[in-house]
Amino acid sequence: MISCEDCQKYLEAFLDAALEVRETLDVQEHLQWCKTCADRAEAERYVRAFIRQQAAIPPLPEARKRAIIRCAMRAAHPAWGWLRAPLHAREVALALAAAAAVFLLLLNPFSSPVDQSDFMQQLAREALLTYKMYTTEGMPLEIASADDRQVVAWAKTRLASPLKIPCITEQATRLLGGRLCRLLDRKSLALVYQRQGRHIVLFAFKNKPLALPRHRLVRAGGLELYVQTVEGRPVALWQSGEVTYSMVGDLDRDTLLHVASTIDFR
Amino acid sequence: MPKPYRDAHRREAFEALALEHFDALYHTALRLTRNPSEAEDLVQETYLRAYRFFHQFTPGTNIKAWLFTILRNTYINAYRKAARQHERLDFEQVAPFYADAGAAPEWTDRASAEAALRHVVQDDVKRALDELPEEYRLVVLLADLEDFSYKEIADIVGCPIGTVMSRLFRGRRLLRKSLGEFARKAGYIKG
Repeated sequence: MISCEDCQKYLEAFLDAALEVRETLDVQEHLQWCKTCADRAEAERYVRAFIRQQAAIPPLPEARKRAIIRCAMRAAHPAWGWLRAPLHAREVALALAAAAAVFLLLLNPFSSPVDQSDFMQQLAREALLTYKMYTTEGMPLEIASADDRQVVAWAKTRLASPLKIPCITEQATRLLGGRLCRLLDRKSLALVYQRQGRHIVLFAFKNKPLALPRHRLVRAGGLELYVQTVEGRPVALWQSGEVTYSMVGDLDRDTLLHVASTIDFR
Repeated sequence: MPKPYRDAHRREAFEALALEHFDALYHTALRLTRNPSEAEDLVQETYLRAYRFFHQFTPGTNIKAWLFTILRNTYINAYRKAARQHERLDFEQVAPFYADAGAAPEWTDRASAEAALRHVVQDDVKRALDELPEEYRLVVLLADLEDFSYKEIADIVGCPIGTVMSRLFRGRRLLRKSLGEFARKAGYIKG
């Protein structure tokens, strides 16, 4: 027979069903004849059940859960699917890539700096995926406000390091609010706008300076944009100091450039 | 021994398993990040990494523990980089094992526990959980809300079972202490 002191010592592990069979039986036997310890065990059971019940949160809607899972699955293998191809295909791809690298290194056909097109493609793809998830699946905003000063103030408290916040100033475009998200594993700001019933999302995150291919940049107001088409949709990317920006919307290229030309930084 | 999922079934299998464990992951993510949108992003990032390595997962083994391990690592790597430097203290080394235990309320029977907690509201419990030091919080969440065993928690957190037990003991005591204080502040118990 174990003592009350031993029972108290083992009680937590007993309630966690973590004791060996022998110790479990010892504690069970003690609790049968010792009312003091049995009462303590019952109190502990009650407190655990209470915490579990009170800590419960309502589950997310089924559609949102599925949207998050699908988005994760789509983003998991966006550009690297060929690596999982049969070996001969992979070898061919690697050989072609190596040949292309040698060609670029030796002949240097472009006068502009080496660009980071893989990164840009990845970024554009993730920006579009995130845009789709937030707009079509109804992801919630952390702050809902049409007042850009309010949203900028919120953004500055939520971001660890300060960055210039882009704001669309076009009359036809209305700010809905903002939230934080992750783009390419970086904490990013997402500002959501609406224009003629269609959504536009502006992303901004801290990043090391990018060497954008100058021959492909397009001027829009005071910005020089790199426009990447993903799934037939234009995604604008640009860099300012150590901040990378992206804008995507249910817009054609000309409208996207027009809206971008009205961006002001706060 | 079961083989990893074939490509044809991989997508459907993953989606079904991911959906099954979504609520548990989201709940823990919310208590870790304390922010709904960050919790959603943490769960999404967890699923992204899990799907990327799903071909290595063996059907029939503990997928819930596997997903929680990824969640924990993703949280540490992506969300806590800045603060990680401050998380390296081994609490078991710098504080006596049973310190604070005496400060936690002693509920000697169900009636006394019920009386004390009767007016503790849902927000108090959530706040008490959120205020737990991170190393204790995760262990308490995994044990008391997700029913993981000590061994599973040790695998998820990456520490010995003894450390899990001591963190769990201290985390629970701190949680009860906070709940007792909420009740006291509300004026429902004397002390």
